[in-house]
Amino acid sequence: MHQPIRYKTFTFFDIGESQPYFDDQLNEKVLNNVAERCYEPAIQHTMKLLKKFPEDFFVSFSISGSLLEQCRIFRPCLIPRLQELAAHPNVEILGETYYHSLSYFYNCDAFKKEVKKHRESMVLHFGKRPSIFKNTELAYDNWLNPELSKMGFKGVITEGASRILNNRPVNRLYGDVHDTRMKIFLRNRSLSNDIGYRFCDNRWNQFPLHPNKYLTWMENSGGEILNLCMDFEVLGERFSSNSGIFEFFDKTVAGIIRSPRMHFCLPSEALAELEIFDVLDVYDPITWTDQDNDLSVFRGNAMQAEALNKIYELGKDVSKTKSRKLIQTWLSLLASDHFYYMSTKGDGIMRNYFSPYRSPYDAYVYYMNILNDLELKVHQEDYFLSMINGIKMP
Amino acid sequence: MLGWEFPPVISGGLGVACQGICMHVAQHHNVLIILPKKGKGKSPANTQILGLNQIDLDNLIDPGYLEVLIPELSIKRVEKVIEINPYHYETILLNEEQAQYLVERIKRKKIEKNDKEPNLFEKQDLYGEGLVQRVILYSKYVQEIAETLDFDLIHAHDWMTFLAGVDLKKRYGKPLVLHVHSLDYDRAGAESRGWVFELERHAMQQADLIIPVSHYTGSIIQSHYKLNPAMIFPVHNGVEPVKVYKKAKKFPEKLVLFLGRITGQKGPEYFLNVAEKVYKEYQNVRFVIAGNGDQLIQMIQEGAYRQLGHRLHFTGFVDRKKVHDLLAMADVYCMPSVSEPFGITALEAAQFGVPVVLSERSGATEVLDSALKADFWDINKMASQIVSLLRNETLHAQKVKEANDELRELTWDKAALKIVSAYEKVLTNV
Repeated sequence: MHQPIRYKTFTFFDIGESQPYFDDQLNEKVLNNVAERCYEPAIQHTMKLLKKFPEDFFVSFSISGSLLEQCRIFRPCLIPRLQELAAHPNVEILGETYYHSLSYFYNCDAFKKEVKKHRESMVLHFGKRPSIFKNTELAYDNWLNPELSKMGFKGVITEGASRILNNRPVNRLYGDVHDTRMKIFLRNRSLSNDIGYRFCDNRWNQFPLHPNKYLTWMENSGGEILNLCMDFEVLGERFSSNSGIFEFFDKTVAGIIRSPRMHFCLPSEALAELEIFDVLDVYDPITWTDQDNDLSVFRGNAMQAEALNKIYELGKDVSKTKSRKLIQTWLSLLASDHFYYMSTKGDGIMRNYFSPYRSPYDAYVYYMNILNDLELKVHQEDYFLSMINGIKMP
Repeated sequence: MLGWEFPPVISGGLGVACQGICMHVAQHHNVLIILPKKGKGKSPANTQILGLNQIDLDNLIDPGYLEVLIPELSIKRVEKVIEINPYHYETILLNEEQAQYLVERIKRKKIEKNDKEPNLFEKQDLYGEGLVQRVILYSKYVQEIAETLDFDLIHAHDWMTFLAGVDLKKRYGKPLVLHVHSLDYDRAGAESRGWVFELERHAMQQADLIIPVSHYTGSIIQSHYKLNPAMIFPVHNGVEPVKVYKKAKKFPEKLVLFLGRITGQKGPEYFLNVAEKVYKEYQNVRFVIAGNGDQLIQMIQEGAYRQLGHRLHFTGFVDRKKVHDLLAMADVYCMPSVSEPFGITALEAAQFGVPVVLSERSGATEVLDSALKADFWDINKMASQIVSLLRNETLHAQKVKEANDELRELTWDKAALKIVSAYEKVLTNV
C-alpha cells in the first residue's frame, strides 16, 4: 500500500516565495477516493477472510510511510482499520523505504535512515517489527543484502525476472550469492500480473479470468513457493468493485485453502521451513516494472537522471543544516513516483494513469523549481548556522 | 488599415505595433482599421475599429464581383493550406482534388452560407486551425465592407491581410502600402518557398510601397523576394512608454533571460549553448527561458541533458504582467534570434534597464546601437559578452545608460511621421 505525497505545480515565480511544495488538496482528494474505493472495502474484505479462515489464510503487507503520514492528516479513521488488520496474527508486515524511494541506488545513508524510520513506524503503529524486506518497486541487486543483513533483516522479496533466473524455476527460495543466510523470495511475475494488470484487459486471450482457471495455473506452476505480489490498490481502485475483483479474490483464496496441493504461508515461516534451491547473482539492478524489469522507467531519460542526481547531491547540504523540517521535506522529494511522472518511456498509458501532471516535461519543470527552492532554503539555513557558530559566547 | 492582431487580442508583437501605428497615424489622418476579431475594451481616440466578429455579416451587400488572387498562385504547391499556422511548418502537400476544391471555393463569387459562421472569427486562437479559410473570408468581407466606405489609401499589415489589400487595390484603384512586420523567411528560414511566401511576394509586387520594420527586413525583401529597392521604405517601430519597476529577486544569483516563442526562429538552442558556456565561467547565475512553442519540450530535455536543471528554468507561456516581472528581475536579456525583423522585446528589456545581447540578424540592432551584438551561431562571443555584463558592473551600468538615450529617439510619433510622409509620396505618385 502506498500513496506518494504529490508536489504542486510549482512555477519559477514561486521560487523563494515560501510557497508550499505539496498539493494538500490533491493528496487529500486522491487519498479519500482510494480509501473509499479500495482501502476501506478491501481491508474489510481481507478481515472477513482472516476471520473465516483463521487457521489457513495468511497474508503480508508492505505499507509505506508516506501513506501512513497522509492517513494521519487526511483520513485518520483509516489508521485503526489498518491497525486491526496488521495486528491479526496471520498478517506479516514487511520492511521498505519510508518514502518509497530509490535511495538505495543513490545514497546509502538516506536509504538506511528511511528503512529505520519505516521500521520504527511499523513498530509504533502495528507493534510488529519487519524481518523481511521489500525494496521500492522490488528493486534489487547484489549489494542490497549486506546492508539489510546489517539492519537485521533475514530475507528480501524481488522480481522473478527471467534474466536472473536463467531457466531456473521461479517458484523456489533462493539465497544471496555472497551470504546464503540471506534468503531471496521471487515474485511470480506472470501469475501476479494476470491479476494485477490483465484482470480487466478484454484484449487478453484469457479474458475473463475465472478463479478455477487461475487455480489450475497456480497448481501447475510447480516448485515449492509461489509469491503473488501486487499493489493492494488493485482491489477496487485499479479494478472497480463492478469488475468482480473482490469475488475473484474471495473464490481464489477459498480455492487455495481447499486445494490439497497448496496452502498459505507467511514469508518469515517459509524462510524457516524451506531450503534454498540455488544462489542468485544480480549485477544489474532489477525491478518489477514494465517489460524490462529495470530502472529505466525511473531514470531512463535525461530529465530523470538530472532530477535524481540533483536531489541526491543536495542531500549532504540538507543534513548539515540539522533542520528536521528540511530533512523531512528532502526525504519526501525522494519518492520514486516523482521520477516516474517524468518518464517518457513507451506509450505513457500507465504514467498518465498515475501522474497528476499534464506531461512528463511539466512534472520535471515543477520538480526542479521545488528543488531549487529547497536549495535556497538550505543555503539560507547554512548561512544562519554559520552566523550562530561565529558568535563567541562570553 | 487592414490588421490581424490588435490589443487585447494579440499573440505577439504584431498587435502591439499595429496599435502604435494606428493611434499615432490617426493624429494626422482619419484611420479605420478592419480586424478579424476585435476584443473587448475601448478603441483608442481618433481610430475607428471594425471587427468582423462584431458586425452583422448577413446584411452586407453582395458586391457580386470579386477579384481573387489565389488562383494566380501556384496552388498545387500549397502546403497544408487548411491549417497553416505561420509559426509551425509542416509540409503536407494537398492532392489534386483538395487543391481543386480549394480553388473552386475561392472562385465562387457568392459567400457560401456555411462560410458565414461568425464563430470563424470568434475563435480564441488567431492563427489556429482554419487560418487560411479565415484569411480568404476576411478578404471577401473586406471587399463588401469597402463598398460602403470612402477611403484614399490602403495600409495592410502582414501576409494575413495582404490578400485583402491587393483585392481592394484592384477593385478601387487606391494605392496600397504593405507593412511588413515579419516574413515567411523569418519563420521558415531561407528554405521558405511556400504558399505564404508566394502570397507575400505577389502582394509586394502589386504594392505601391513596402514598409518593413527594419533595414534588415528590407534587405531580405530585396534579396530573397527580389523586390525593387526603390519600393522599400523602412520605418522602425516605436516603443510605448511603460511603467518601469524593479523587482527584488528571491534568490541571490543573477538572472539571464530568454523571452519569446520557443521555436527555431528565435534560436532557443543557441541560448542553451550560451547558457552552458556562461555557467562554466560564472556560476552565480540563473537562466530563464520564458515562452511556449514547438521546441519547448526539446529544450527542457536538452537542459536536463546538459545538467543545468538547477540553474535553468522554464516558465511556459507568460502574460504581460509576468513578462514585466521577469524584465524587472533580469540582469541580462539575450535574443539569439536566427532572423528577427524587429524584436520589440529587446526594446522592452532596455526600457526596464536590462542590457541586451542581440543577434546580428535582428532589426533591434539598428536602433539599439549600443547593444552588444554577435552572430546567433557565435556561442563563444555571446557567452563572453554575457559574462562581462554579469561581472563588470561599470559596463552593465554604461550599457543601460546608452540604451536609455537611444530609446528616447524611438517614439511612435516619429514613426508615424515617417509613415505619413510615405503616404504622401505614394499619393502624389498616383
